Amino acid sequence: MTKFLADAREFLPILLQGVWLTIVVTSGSLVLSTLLGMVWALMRVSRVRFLQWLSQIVVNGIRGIPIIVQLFYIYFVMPELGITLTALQASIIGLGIAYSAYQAENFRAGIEAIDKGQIEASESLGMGWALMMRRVVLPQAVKIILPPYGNIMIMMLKDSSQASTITVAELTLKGQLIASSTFKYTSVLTMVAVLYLVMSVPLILFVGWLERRMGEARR
Amino acid sequence: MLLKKLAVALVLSSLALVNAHADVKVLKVGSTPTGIPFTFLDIKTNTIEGVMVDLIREIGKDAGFKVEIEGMQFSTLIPSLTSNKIDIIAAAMYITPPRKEVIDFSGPVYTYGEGLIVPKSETKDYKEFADLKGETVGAQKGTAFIEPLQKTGLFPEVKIYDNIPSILADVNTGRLKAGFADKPILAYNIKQGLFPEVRLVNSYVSTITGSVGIGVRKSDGELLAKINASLDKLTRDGTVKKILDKWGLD
Repeated sequence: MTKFLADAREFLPILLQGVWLTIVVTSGSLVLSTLLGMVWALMRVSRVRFLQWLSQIVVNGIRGIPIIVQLFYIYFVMPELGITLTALQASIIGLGIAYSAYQAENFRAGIEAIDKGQIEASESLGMGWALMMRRVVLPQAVKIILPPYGNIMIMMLKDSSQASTITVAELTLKGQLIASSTFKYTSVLTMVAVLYLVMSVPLILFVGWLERRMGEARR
Repeated sequence: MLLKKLAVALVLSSLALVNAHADVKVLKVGSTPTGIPFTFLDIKTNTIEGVMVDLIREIGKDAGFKVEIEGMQFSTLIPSLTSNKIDIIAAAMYITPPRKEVIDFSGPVYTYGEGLIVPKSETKDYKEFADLKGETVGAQKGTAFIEPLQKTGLFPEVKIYDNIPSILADVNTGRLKAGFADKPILAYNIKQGLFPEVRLVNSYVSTITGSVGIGVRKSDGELLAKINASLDKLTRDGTVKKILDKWGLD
């Protein structure tokens, strides 16, 4: 145990550098996936057939390809097509796009769960689609969307580790680096796991609180 | 009575079968698919080939064991060996003091140093680390080059890649300004013409030299002795040189 603590003290500073990049990648892709997800979702629930169809293709296409493959494509293949991004840019864009599909489905579920009566009432009041979404549907949908959104946040925190495959020096890659040069796999990987838990447990507790809060508010 | 005879016959024949296979041990050998010419995946035959593979096969023939070659990422070779997923490491792996604390190596097979690659647009004749001060450089995960590069303090970042072709690809697009890896492997890749925009800097002088060797677990002293004995024999009778010549290494 003392050996582990000694190792911990030695490796923690390097691992914390990784933690910083993990947070950067997670936050960046969270923002991007939320914005993009909203775009796909609104397209899907719009009354324009073409937009609905386009959104379905995009979302299902993204969901059908593993995230690692998408990241490799953006980082290693795009340069051949002329678009060269840094590893950090590629990971935020890649994870942002990959998760926008799941965000979109979540938003759509929340929007479609709103009682049709609300929509009819808005229409009978003469509200246009955009006004109705903005003032009636979306505010109510938020309560349904938030708890799954929290879950998506937790998944993104862990999936930020996929950025290690395209050289982003986040926590997982830093851990592999230390482990493969010191061969202290047990100590290092345990520390990496603990650090991920330290980051995700508060998120998990927050989501639990959200679920209770939103559940009450709907009654 | 018939049942008893049948049972005895069954036991005897299975013993015979067991004995027939007990003579030839099959050892799992860990190599990498991207370390040409030392170890690489030959697409046409879908098997791992290369200097180290030829060598361990010859050693096996001499010492009396069969080999099953498995390709894996370079940085996972040592943990795979120590956790018994493989029995031997045959790859372009330097014999270094930190590694010797965890596994044992055979005698040295081939000695070389690191090579420097830059995009062709960079025409400067780099000689040493200091010439690249301030640049972001790249190296492969698990190699002996990372720590010396980090320790110089000259580079703001040492980017870590899973394998050498990834480093070549990034230098090829210009995204990485300088990459360090095993010189023979870089040379071979560039010679094959897959990375047209990459230049192996000839003026660069290697500082992280080492010899590659076959790796075994520390608890496998007997196997190590056999490997070393065969390696000695194959060196003396010219087989090792023949293998090196076959792949263009002198």
